[in-house]
Amino acid sequence: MPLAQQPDKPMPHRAGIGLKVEHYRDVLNGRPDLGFFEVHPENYMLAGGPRLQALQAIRAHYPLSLHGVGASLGSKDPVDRDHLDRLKALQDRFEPFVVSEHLSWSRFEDHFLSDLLPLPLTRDALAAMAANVGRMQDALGRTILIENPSTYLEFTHAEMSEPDFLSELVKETGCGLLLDINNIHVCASNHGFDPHAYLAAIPGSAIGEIHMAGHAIDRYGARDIRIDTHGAPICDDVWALYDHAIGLFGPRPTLIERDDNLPPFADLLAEAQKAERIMAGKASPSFKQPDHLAEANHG
Amino acid sequence: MAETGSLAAVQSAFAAALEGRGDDAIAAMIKPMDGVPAGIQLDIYRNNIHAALTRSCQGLYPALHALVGEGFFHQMMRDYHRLHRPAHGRMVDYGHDLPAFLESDDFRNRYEAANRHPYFADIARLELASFKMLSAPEMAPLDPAFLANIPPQDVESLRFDLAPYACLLASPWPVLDIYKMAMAAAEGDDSVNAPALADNPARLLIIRLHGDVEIIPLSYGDFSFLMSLDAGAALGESAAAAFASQNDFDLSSVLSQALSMGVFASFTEK
Repeated sequence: MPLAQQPDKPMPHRAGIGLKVEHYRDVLNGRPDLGFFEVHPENYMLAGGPRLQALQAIRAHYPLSLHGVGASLGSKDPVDRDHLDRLKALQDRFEPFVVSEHLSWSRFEDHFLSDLLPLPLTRDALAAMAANVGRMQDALGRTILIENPSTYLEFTHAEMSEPDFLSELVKETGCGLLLDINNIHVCASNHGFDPHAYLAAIPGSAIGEIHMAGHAIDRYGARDIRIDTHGAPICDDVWALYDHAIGLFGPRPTLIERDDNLPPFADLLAEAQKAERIMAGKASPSFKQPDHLAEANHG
Repeated sequence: MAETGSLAAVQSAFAAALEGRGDDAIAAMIKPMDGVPAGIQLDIYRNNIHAALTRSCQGLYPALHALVGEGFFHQMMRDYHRLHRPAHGRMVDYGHDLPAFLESDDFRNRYEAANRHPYFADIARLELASFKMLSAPEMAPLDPAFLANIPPQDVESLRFDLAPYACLLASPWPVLDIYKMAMAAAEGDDSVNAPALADNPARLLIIRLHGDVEIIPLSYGDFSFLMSLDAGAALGESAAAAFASQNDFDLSSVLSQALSMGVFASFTEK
């Protein structure tokens, strides 16, 4: 195996919750029955203090996932070395079972545009993204997962679909995928494609984690645009798509993401339990896995 | 010049649109969305960026946000973001130029309130210092027992380094009282009275104690003493400066309090 590229640590097929500062007390005092927690590493790129100590205390009891939002792997320029060094330091300290980033870009030369911006789905963009995924995997000494983003525009000169772009990226870099079901629903609605066809085109064995979240609907004239806000409960359509995805791919570690309008912790716990019930239902002996995905459950 | 449609051309044109330098170049590359002009699609990203940067600054400056109100804060942030764009994706480091921005002519000329409330910049300074102390490196404080080994005649030439989680802040305005009032108001408590602004300066020690930041008002003498030590002066010299600013300055009291609180990280003998 080249350069200690360790595969991600195997995870039980359980649900987790995106950890916010507001949850520390609930988690440390209540020790909720959850499979894992996930944080944005950028929020912990601090020299010291109680935030890092709380994460350390929580890590002592739960597996942790580091889900980056700041690496800008889709930029035309190489990923920021300083950022990778900081990420590696957090990886060494917190030993996450998985590290992930996005199919997106945010940095243009020395400007950081603080959102997950859409990539043109071209060969040119694929080459830049693959090079940066490779740089990040080399720096961390492990494979990472790449998440499909919510997008609000597409480019006229796209050369492939998003699932094809992700499949190529997996082939070229050996990375895995973080499948965000809400983002698929948001994009399918915004851009008018069939979310089931999207799922059918995804290489299931590469999926290392699933994200679930709520979104908002903005109205422009006669049409809706769905906006990925992480500010609402997960809607029925997204649950239905999740059910379908788990049916296709089998159970996967599933994260409930909520960043805005934080509800009581118990509400998020209930969503995590719902995801686990769906996984348990699909994992029953009657579940027949498609042959070409057979390695997914044993990989 | 990047080739049309290349990743470099897309990112250059997209960045231009998001930074207010015109939508035309990127709009020509956007696939038409039924009933939605490209400018509206770009607005979603512009709004997301504004929201992310504003949320980050609101988290860093909750008292300032409470003082100026939601509408003013958002408008002020638009101007701040235009002049101070983030250079990387670590939002914990973003917004640290806000105190200087609040004192700039650009801000003062644009916002009449800045002249009526001249303490905004120092409130921001207090909140920024609190965040920095909260997230400063862990370090064991200087053990007061060290003093037992110093010959008495050498004590006054000792120099002390403040711990990375402790700093001093002075303001001509009663910023701690204003801060407390604003934080109470943010929690819905409007009963805290505004302090007198005239002749009411603040001299503060900001320190992380047991995982939380404490803001401790100091007397003029105690502040002068710690300020002088922090600037690298020896103990004797610093005590003399403190006596000059406050004739009942009590050296042994402030030194023992500072040592027991862990204000110092290390000392040097000379």
